Amino acid sequence: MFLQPKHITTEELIKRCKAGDRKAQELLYKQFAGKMLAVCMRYAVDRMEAEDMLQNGFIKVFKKMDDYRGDGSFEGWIRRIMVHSSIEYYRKHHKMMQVVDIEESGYEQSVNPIASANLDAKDLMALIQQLSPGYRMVFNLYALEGYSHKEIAEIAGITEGASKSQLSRARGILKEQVEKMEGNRYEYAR
Amino acid sequence: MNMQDKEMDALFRSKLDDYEIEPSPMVWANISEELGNPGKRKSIIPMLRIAASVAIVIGAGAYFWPKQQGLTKTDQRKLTAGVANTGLKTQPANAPKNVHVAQPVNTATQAQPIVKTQLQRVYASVSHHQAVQQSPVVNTAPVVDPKSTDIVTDAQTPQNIAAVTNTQPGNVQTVTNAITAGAGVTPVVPETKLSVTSTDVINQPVTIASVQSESKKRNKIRGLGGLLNAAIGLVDRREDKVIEFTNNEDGDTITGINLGVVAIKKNNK
Repeated sequence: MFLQPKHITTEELIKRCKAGDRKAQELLYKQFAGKMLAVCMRYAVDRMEAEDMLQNGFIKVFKKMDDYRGDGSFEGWIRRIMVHSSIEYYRKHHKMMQVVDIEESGYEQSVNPIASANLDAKDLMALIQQLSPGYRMVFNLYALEGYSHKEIAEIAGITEGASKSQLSRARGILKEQVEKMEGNRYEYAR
Repeated sequence: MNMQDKEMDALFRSKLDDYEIEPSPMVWANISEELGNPGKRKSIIPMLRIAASVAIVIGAGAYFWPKQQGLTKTDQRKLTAGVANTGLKTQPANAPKNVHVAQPVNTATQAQPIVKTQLQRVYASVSHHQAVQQSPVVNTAPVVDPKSTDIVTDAQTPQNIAAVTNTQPGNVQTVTNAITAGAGVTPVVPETKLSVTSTDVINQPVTIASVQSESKKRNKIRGLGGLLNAAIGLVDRREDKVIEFTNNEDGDTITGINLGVVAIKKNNK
């Protein structure tokens, strides 16, 4: 599934994709689809929606292939398209981002460094998906994609201030849950 | 920013950046289909040109041919010889009979063999469905000929002549409709669609031009052939048109046919 075609360089692959070579396009898809689906999963409500986002995203990728001029990472380029496409999809299919005001549970900033050994990607993904859409999107864009609050404001259609506060809340929730999970794991591991 | 915030971000990032989930096969199938679809619509246009120009030829032929007056005996012989040469053994062979009739009726009765000749030449030039295509022409013959016989004996009024001559155009119109209707379907369109008309042939309502004399029109362009050439030239943009006429001393003859799959051209133009 996750082919690393060694007999053909990425550059050559891109060139053929631009020319419309279906075989090359399929190779390219197979190379990046797995990762990109994981990206879409962060923005989707469920697996099915994530696959729809993936589909739309790749169609855009192939149609906009000519825009890629070789400057910057190719994977990064694909990823950007995927993220924008996913958010666009989400906004089209769901009501305006609901930001639920979860009561501050009065948690304290934990001073323990977060141990990371016991949590795997699947766990973290699950935590992200539990967040309400507004928090989730901001956290994704800031922490995982690396956008600034200014950029997030543009992409998400919110103010910078809202972006900052939502990020803060998202982190709070996540941290709490991570520690909870770690704690449990640690308990069982003992 | 809290150090721990950053750390947590880093945690998520590190774990999730390389995370991969395998998509279901349907996704690529849909992508491939979406990419494959645009770009398949270009091959229809040449066929449309052919179909349109054939429609004009037949329509114009049916419109103008009944008007043609004063053909010499040489013409008649040439035409009937043409009829015989296409190999039809049935009714159309009777056409010569009709031609040698009382003068005022010549126009009407000549209409059938002439139009038939034209149709036959077109049909004959298309390789495959020759046998089938002859049937629409053949079928009309029994309908038309008895009537023409009547005309001969009764010396009918122009209305009946119109009725007779229009029967043929009516059939032609069907063919025309069939062709234009079927234009977009396959490259073999002209051949296949012609065969379908055999059932509709007889009862087709008359829609083509009423019989009015517009012979003055012809003064501008040299003869019917020239007119047809002009009309076809507007529609068929290829070098060799679907059908070409040349105006010789004796009248107009077909000197070239190009239906895409089959092309014939006279050399001594």
